[in-house]
Amino acid sequence: MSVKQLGRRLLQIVIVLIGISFFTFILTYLAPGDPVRTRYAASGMVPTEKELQEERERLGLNDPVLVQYGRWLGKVLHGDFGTSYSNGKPVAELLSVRLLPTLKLAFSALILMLLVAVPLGMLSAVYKNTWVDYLVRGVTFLGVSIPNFWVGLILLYVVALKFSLLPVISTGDGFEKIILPAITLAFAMAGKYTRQVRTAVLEELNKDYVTGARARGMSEQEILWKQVFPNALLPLITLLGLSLGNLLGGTAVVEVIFTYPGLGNLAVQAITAYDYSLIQGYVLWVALIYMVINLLVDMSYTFVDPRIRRNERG
Amino acid sequence: MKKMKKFLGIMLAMVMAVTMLAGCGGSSKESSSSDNGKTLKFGCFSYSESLDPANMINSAWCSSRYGIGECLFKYKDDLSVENTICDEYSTEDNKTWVFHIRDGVKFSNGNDVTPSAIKACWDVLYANKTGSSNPSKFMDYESITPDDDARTLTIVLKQAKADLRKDLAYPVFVILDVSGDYDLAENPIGTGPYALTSFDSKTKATLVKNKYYWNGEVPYDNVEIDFLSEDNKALALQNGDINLVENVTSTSDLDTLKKDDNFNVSIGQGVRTGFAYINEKGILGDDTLRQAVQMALDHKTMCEVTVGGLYTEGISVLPSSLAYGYDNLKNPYTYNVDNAKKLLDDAGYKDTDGDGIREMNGKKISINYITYENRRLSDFAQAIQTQLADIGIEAKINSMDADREWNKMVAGEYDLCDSNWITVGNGDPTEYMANWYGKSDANFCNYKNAEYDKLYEQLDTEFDEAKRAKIIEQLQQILINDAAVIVHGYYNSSMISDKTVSGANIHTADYYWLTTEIAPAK
Amino acid sequence: MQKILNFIKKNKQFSFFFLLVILLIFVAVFAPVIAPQDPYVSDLKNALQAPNSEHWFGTDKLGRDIFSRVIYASRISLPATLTLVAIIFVAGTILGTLAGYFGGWVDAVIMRLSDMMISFPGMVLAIAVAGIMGASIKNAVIAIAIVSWSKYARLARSLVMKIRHEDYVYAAIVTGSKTGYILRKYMLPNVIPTLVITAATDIGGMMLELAGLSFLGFGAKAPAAEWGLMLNEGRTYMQNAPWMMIYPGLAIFIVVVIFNLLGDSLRDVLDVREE
Repeated sequence: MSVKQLGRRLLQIVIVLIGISFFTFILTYLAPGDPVRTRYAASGMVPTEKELQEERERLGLNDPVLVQYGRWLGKVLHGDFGTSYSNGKPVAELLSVRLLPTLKLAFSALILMLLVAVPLGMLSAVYKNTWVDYLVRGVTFLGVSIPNFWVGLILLYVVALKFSLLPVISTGDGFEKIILPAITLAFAMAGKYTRQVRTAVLEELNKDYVTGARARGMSEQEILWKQVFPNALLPLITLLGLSLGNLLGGTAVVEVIFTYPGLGNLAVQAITAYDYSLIQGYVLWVALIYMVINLLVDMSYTFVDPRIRRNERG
Repeated sequence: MKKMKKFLGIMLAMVMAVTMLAGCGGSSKESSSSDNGKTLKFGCFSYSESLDPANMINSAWCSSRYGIGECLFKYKDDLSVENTICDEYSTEDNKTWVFHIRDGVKFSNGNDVTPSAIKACWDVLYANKTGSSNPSKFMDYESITPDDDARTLTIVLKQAKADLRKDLAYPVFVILDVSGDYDLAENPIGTGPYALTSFDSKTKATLVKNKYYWNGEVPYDNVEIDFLSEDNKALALQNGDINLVENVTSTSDLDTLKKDDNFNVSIGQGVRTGFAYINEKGILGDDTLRQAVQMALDHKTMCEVTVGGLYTEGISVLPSSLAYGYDNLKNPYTYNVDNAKKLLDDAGYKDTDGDGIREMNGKKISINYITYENRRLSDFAQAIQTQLADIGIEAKINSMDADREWNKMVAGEYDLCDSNWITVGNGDPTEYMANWYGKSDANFCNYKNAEYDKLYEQLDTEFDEAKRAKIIEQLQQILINDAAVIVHGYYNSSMISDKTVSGANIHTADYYWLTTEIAPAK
Repeated sequence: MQKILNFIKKNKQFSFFFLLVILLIFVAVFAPVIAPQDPYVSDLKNALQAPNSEHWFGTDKLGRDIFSRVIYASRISLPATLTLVAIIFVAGTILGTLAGYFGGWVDAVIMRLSDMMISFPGMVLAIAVAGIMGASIKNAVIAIAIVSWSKYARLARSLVMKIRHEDYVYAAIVTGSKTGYILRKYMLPNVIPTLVITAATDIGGMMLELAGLSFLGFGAKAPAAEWGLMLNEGRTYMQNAPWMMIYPGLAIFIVVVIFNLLGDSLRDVLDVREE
């Protein structure tokens, strides 16, 4: 990827971010939910119209939408994401507190998934159309077809409650608290990836260099691990990038089930409380992460695979 | 080969990253157990992101609930008040009140609680009030004068009050230290048995024993609060993650816990009433129809089966546990489906076109019922829908979020509208009863009864407790006679503990959770 | 007739799964006949009954028959999912083809829009939409559609770009063929098979997403009989009435498996390259 291309990608990212933030702003503006009234409703108190009006004025909610957006964008450019409507804390701080748990969960789930998907996928490819293959394919089918929130609930019920093996609460520190949500997330992903690995390995096995290697008398083991395996994993990088991007935005359903203190859970809370400034910050953050990771993946691709670099020059 | 290494390198880096993350998480856990003394692990829903009483009503409640802050007075279970930080008071004309501040009460940082410290705290409160926190609604004063030598606080009100102590017991008047740098939102310093050491409203809070606590021994050295979702509360207790939990609203879980000998379940009739407003500017303005609706509803089954005992059934808008003459009230419209049908038949509201729904003046009797997800209200709505169908009345349920429902209620776009109200938040139901007062802003149901209004106005000038109670009893009976409200029942709060904890009881006023009564079991 | 038989003989797997899908649709259409009870009529006193001969899957919190509700739920989930897939398929194909064919600013605008949507946290949008128009299955469909079309657009675009510069396309332009004709005659036929496969394999996943939204409370609303919502309601009763959770979950699972298998076998039918 040349510098010029990189520059263009970065410009695109900026344009998309502005588009997204504006779109979100319009959405929240159109939404009838009133953050001020929600705060009152939570306490069961009846506010007077005057109290509501004062509070809205204080938060700047009475200005025209474009004025509000301009003000917000101006602040964001100075690194200020505003403060949450519901608790007055800086949005950037709220988001960053959730970053570490989300990172932990995302990486744990990815690694767990790879540990399952890579061996299974290769096994299934090497023993294509034998009972091993059918078994693996059957299992992966379950993986992609079961609702992950259902798996989560059943895990919670069986592992945490019936056998008390792991804690129910996923907040706070401790590795054991991450296990159940990570398994739940990995479960569905593993199904998808096992199939990908299988397809990729099969594709590689049909290539000329494998035949050549066989002709040269390399052992099957050697061919598989030294030639096929690394090549087959290359196309997975893009996919991994996408998955990581999704995971870093937080995975609402699983996080809600396990009360995991990640970004997805924060987003659901923000939305139910009509905490617009927090939603804004969250959306921008997720979009940014997603695009940066994609960019990195694309860059690493050219870096890892010399063919693409050559093509660029040619 | 090169690629292979590169890939392995990436994998290795990822594994290391995770192990590291896990490692730094792992190192800090379990540090708080046993060696540092007795620890209580409490699970609750996080009702407020801030603890600053000037922020939201819920903020003040939580500061009191977690055992951090106290007021001058405290509500007892019958909603009368007892002395806490104030130990003596006097008033001549109900307008000027003198409170004596107990000697030796200190904040958890060791600072002395003086009358001027209290005034300073309230000055901050009145100056910073935002959102739903509105202290002047409870105490609208002309002046507050501290006298540190006499340890008295003299408050002159703008208008006389029946009992200012009840208002000052309301958690918004929690006494916090505002000397020096203070952070009321996340690190309030109060006089309660426990003092905050860390607070993250979405995950966890930790507290330690307040060394300077004035009122006896504090039973635990450490308290860890885990903020949970409603669905995980019971599971976390059963699993052993926590020892104590408040308000399990899943009735089936509550049932399981009750039957399990490993847990103590304390259930208290709280001061919340679940009810549906009846909009009288609509089809339900018809007296006969309203009465028939009341007779068609089996509140006993709804309270005991549908919501599994989470509510106690009752006929009045005020909970039966309060001292407002519940036992004297009479309900002319007791549950009887046949009578309900007969009433409608006699009024000529019959099903003439055979679709199972009666007509009234040629129009189908169809009710617009709005509800929201809160303390199982929407379960009541669904149950009522089927019961009304049995007597030939159609109810269309529109379930929405609390905010939308509120807007619809204010706009009067409903026939039935579910609500869940704290009836005596500040120890007195006057504000709540204004819901049916003809001249009130808070009357969203277009109910009008001259007799009710006249009696209600007497509450403004009547300061005698017994006489007030009598008036309020009459108000309740009028509402019952007019079939003005569908009362679902009185919400039962709960506090559940495992066997390591004793004395975990729920209080009528929902402001006291972590009290010194809660102690390690012997 | 002979043709159909031949097709079935040649594509046994596909035909079998297709039959299963027909069966599902049959269940949805004839739900009132199949379901033993009205899924919306409750019997308060008989709430939370364990599965028995009268109520095969037990009853829920209001005493409604869960079997009937599970059956009826297919009337919500199936049409919603199929509509959703149809919307994103049509929108994605059209926009992607246009972008690929015209290039330039058309391409730039469509692709930036697509970038926006693909990096938008789908759930947030879904909930925001639910906030504006009220939570309902219809709005959940709209919300997911808004964030999902871009995948199809990208695919269509790349397929179109592959043949955009072929000689026969230029020949058509030179001989004065109308743009609409070229798009219909050359571009779409090139795009559609791949996209159909993608759509077919996506049905299961989309169904799961819709159920997930309902589970979070941003899709179907009570008292609707919908699997995701039923799971949400059942969650509270997990300990004492696990049947409230098990059967709707199984229903989702079975239906998704069937659609996934159908998608896979469709790939085999349309796409000979693989294997």
